[in-house]
Amino acid sequence: MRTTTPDETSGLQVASLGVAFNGLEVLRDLTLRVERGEFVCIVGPTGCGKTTLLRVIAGLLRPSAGEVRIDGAPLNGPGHDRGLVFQEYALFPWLTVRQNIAFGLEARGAMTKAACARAVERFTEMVGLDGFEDYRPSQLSGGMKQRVAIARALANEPAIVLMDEPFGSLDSQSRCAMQAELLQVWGQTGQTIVFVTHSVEEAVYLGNRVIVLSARPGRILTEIPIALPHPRVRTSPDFNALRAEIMALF
Amino acid sequence: MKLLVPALSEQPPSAARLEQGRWYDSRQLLLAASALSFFVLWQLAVLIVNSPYLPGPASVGRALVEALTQRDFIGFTMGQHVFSSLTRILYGYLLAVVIAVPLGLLAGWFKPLETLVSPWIEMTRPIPPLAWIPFAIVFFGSPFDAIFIVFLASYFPIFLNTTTGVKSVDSLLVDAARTLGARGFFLFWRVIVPASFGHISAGLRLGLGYAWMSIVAAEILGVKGGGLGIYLWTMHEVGRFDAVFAGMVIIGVLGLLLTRGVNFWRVAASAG
Amino acid sequence: MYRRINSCLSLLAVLSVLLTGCASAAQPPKTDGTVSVRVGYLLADLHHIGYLVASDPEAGGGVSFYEQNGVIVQDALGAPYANGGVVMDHFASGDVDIAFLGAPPAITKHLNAGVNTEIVAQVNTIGSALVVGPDIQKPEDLLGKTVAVPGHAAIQFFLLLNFAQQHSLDIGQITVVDMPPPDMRVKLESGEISGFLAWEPWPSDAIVAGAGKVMATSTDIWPNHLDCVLAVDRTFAEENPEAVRQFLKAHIAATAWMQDALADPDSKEYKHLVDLAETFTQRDAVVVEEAFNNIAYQSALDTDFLDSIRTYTSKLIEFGLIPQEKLSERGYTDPNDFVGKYVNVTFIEGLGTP
Repeated sequence: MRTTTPDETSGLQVASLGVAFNGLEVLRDLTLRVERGEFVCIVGPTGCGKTTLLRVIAGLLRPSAGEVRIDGAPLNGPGHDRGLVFQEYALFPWLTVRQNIAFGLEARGAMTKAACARAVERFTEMVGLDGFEDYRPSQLSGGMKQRVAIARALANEPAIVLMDEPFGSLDSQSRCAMQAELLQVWGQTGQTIVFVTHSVEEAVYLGNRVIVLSARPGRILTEIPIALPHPRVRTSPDFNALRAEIMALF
Repeated sequence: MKLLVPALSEQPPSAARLEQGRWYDSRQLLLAASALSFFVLWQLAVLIVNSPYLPGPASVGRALVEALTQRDFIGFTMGQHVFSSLTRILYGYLLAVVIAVPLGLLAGWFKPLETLVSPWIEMTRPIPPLAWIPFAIVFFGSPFDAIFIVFLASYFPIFLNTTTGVKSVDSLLVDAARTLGARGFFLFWRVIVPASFGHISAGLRLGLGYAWMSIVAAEILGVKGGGLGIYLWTMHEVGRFDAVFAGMVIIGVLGLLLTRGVNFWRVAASAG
Repeated sequence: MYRRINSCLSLLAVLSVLLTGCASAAQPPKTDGTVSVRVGYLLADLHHIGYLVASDPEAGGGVSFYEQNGVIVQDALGAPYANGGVVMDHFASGDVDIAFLGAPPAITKHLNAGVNTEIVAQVNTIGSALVVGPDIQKPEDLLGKTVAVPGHAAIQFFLLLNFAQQHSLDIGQITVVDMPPPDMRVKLESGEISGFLAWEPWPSDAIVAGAGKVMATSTDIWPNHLDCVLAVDRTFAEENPEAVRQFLKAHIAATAWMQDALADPDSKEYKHLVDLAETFTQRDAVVVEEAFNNIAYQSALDTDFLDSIRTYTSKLIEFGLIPQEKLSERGYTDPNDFVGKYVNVTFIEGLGTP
């Protein structure tokens, strides 16, 4: 009787992924494994296909080559198990902040009204938007919209959280605060996080592995494990060494 | 953990600010000037054309007072005419809304349905509603014949705008909804429909305009209970062009009030 | 390129010459005393058969009455018309010189819309009827039903208003629709309308076909009432007074001929008149003969006539078709003054009216 190693098929498996649009190759032969509960950061030059990769994993895009499996099962379109924080926010303009954040919970209908309200309140507070629950997206600044997008995705408690430059519109103070919040949530829930950023510093601060993509057509240049304990110190020599190592690849 | 609260997005600048006190900034003044020039030009045209077939503001004003205060020789007050026309418009228009909006939503969402329905739409759309009048009179009879004409006139813009609305929903929003677990009916009802609202309301407004335009002609063929179309037609038959113009003024004002009313409801609904 | 322009200009020149040629051909030529008159009249209206009679060589005894009096006639643009109101519209647009039409539209549209006409002769009295379908037994049954008339300016609507007043019916509760009289019988049979008031021969047509019954002839509504008149465009009359007189001479002769023919149903003139009527209305002899019983042709502008015009004017104002102010707006002090000025007796004077 052959015993399969418990973690051989668990988690996210991307195998030889290829994506091309109208003859333009965006991703080529990309292979990646993310264990359950990992916090993985993806960095790379502009246009290297980071967003495309997230969309494929989210099930919004069919690859031209290769495949993606979750716990051994192939993908079948999008689902609430893979939440996506869009770079463009993608908030529903006819809904308030509160209603946007509650959207996934209502779609699944898994919670009572009271539990739903509590969850919404928790995540609204987490992203620092309490007091703005009844505002419409058109009344918010870019940074606030981004926070709603984050809260909306996290409130739905997906097994895998895909985040596409989620802190890009925030000022540095808010950014640091949000990074700390995210790490705290992750610590509590054990969700798998795939985090795309163009800030190497942010990648080193957050992830337990940093994956570096090449320029288009994107494929994995290298993967660098970050073994530093949390909370990390941005000024420490270890931190900066890792940073330098990664930046050298660009 | 509390974070700093960033500033809200700024208020859009208002074009009606009276800050500097410039006269051309004042919306009220511009509107008044426009209305005044309309009357001046009208009176000028009357003097130039000099025909009883083009009555001036004064005689139209008198005819308007007469219309609003007296019963006409057809046997109705203006209130009865207005009520009759409005009820016919309302029934025909609401019928169109109730059928065209759901059908339009479904046709926009399900391509096979749209393909099935489109030859019918494309073939009947160019036919002017008035061409259906003989058919309507024979098969529906008063007052349903007039309601049918109103229905036909308002149906197509509502249906087509709704379909377009569905098809132009931002795919990004659909993607976001699907990654949040929305599917099937929930996706349709909670994302597609609200996202199409802008197009749908444009279609509703267009449809209402067409409904108004068709009612006058539809009534000329003869419906019980009077109506603005009957008033206009009969007054023209006996040469009372001042009354015809007065009727047109009433229609214009009613149309304006109706549009304002619809707009008000729209704003109130979206703010709530 | 200059050759292109040249040929275009030549083509334009040729075209404009042709067009002016055509246009001038449409004007009444004024040579050797004969004048062309554009005549308006109503569709299949037996009241206006005088137009056909005066054009008919046989009735004139070899040469038509019009020809005898040096008149060239042609149908006006768009004639025959749907109702008297439309005739007045065509007067206003300059398509008509002389027309047969009901007295009420000639009065109403002159006062309301300032159409520049005047009345120069009578055409007939009586000659319409209110025909109703099987669902109507008494006047009150018409409430809530639909009645057809040729038009709201026509005498038939005026008669209907009188009928409603006489029987204390609220006209607002009767739906009055316009349609050409030839359509009315079919609509009555199908039940789309419950009654109609139209000029002969259409009431007789419905009776003979068994489609309805007469609830009231127009004589019942208003005994011996004035019906149709001859109206003339004032500008035309001022410029061509002789032509108007000649036309009236022919009209008087034709009217006299018809009166004689109708007085003797065995005469060949009567048979000929029936033939002409069949052609004019596209109805059978049976219908036409029945219709003739309900019409009286005359041409005189006597005191009865003038009284009728005055009474009609007052009544039209009373019903609300003409606002009281229109009299003074058009330059008349009262109905008497109006009758004095609007009925022009100078043309028919001395022509020997029967």
